[in-house]
Amino acid sequence: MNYINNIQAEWIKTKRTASNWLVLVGGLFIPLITTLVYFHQEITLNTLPKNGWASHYSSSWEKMAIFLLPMGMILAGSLITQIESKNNTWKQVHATPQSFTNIFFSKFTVILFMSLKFFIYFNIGVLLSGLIPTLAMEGSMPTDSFPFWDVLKLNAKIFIACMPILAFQYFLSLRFKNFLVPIGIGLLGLIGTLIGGPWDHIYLSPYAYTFYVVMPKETWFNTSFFALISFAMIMVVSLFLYLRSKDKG
Amino acid sequence: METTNCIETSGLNYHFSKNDHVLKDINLAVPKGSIYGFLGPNGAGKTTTLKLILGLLKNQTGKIAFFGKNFHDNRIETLKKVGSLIEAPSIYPQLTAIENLKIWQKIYQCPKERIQVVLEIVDLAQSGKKKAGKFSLGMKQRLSIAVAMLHQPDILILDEPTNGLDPSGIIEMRKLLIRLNEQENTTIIISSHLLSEIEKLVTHIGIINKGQILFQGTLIELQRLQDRGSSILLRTNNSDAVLKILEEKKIVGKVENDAVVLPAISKEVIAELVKSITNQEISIYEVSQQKNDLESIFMDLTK
Repeated sequence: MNYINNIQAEWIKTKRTASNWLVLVGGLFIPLITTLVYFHQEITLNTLPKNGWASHYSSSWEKMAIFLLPMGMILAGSLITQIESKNNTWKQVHATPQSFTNIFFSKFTVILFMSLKFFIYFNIGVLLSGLIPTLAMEGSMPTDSFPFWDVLKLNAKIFIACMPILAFQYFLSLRFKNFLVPIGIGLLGLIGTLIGGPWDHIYLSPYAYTFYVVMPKETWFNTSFFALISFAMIMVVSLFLYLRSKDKG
Repeated sequence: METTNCIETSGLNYHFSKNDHVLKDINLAVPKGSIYGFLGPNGAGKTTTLKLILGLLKNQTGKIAFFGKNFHDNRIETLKKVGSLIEAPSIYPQLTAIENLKIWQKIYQCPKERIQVVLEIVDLAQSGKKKAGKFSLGMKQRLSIAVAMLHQPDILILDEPTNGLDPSGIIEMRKLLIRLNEQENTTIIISSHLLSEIEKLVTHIGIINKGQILFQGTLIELQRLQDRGSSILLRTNNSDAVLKILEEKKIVGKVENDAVVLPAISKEVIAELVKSITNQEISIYEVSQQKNDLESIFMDLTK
């Protein structure tokens, strides 16, 4: 019960914050550009190869997952935690009657919810960016059926691939009060991963998993499984260090 | 074990580095139902002590007990009974006062009605949709106090709560804390670096300087120290003659700024002395008691 209440409290804190705007703008940016391109080049879901919906979704996710999605996760994972550092409220949070573990997990749950919100906005955006040009230019609904389960599966895989980024950014923003540090490290990590893409052990980078999902290549490991292992390891280390920190004020 | 103190610390030590001892052997005893003024100059160790008491800093050596129970073994249960305001106000500036309080209402799981009650107590009920970031420092401070008392705690720990308040705000806060103490029997620890700010409020005082407790006791005990340091001033047209009279009465006096100063004596002895002086046709211009104010005792202790 305490955990649920704490999540509700954490959710109130995100009201009118930059993170809220970020997920809205970040989630709708690619669909908006796609809509403009479709109108400009007279593309509709019926002109796309194979199943129009499937092609439209995978191409939208590809554009998103390379840079914008990890970047959004870096910001979401960092900014929500920074609400406390920026407002000097950690001391008040830590003086409340709840375990530190509860505080740690409820805050991270809100980061997950915020990311989920980002996914929902993006999916609605992708749906509309396919539907609106088709309806406007052809005056009828797309002929292909909507591949609901494939879309859901792809979303789930990408969401899992984002979890190591969120966990790592959470870990960083708990360690450093200055929000530039986690965001700076996140950006460098992401760019480094993009450059180091061909390296055999790039899976060691928490920023690498979203690429593997949208641009599948031969790997000896299961991306989602590795992402979950990486996520769990980062969270355990992060929790351990958080519980051990001497100054919680 | 039954104890009359709601907070007790023993042998509390804290250091940031090997040679930087911030607290040395702090033994606090805060009686139930008291208003405990925790006094000391800036950097004396007040905030560090309060942070240790609240578990915000990891205890290095020593013990902290609330209601006779070890704090670290009963952290969650203890914190349910404690409201706090440490250093600067803890508020979320993008939210209104009500939204800020909703956060803590969820965490403490106290009735929603408490939000309106505390807003009225701290005089912020009319703040409406105004974001807390746009509040004056005094309003922010009052909102933080509302947060601290939202769940009707048995103990309020307030670290320099009058910072940023104007004189009328300080008086208001004083009234509020006295009311809480008297009506709800809330034990209050209030830290300050200004004795004058809290001497009209507190029942007990702890004075800390350079990480060490220099005085701990009731306000009356501190006032006794004050009386011990007081003196009588006699201003006449003939100080030398007055000194002779004092000598006859075996009272040690000295001349300071054309007046005779003597140690505190009973009012009967003063009356007798005045009579002797007037009998010798010496004109008396002034007889007064020179009290060491509490501020100067504080200054002496923390020198």
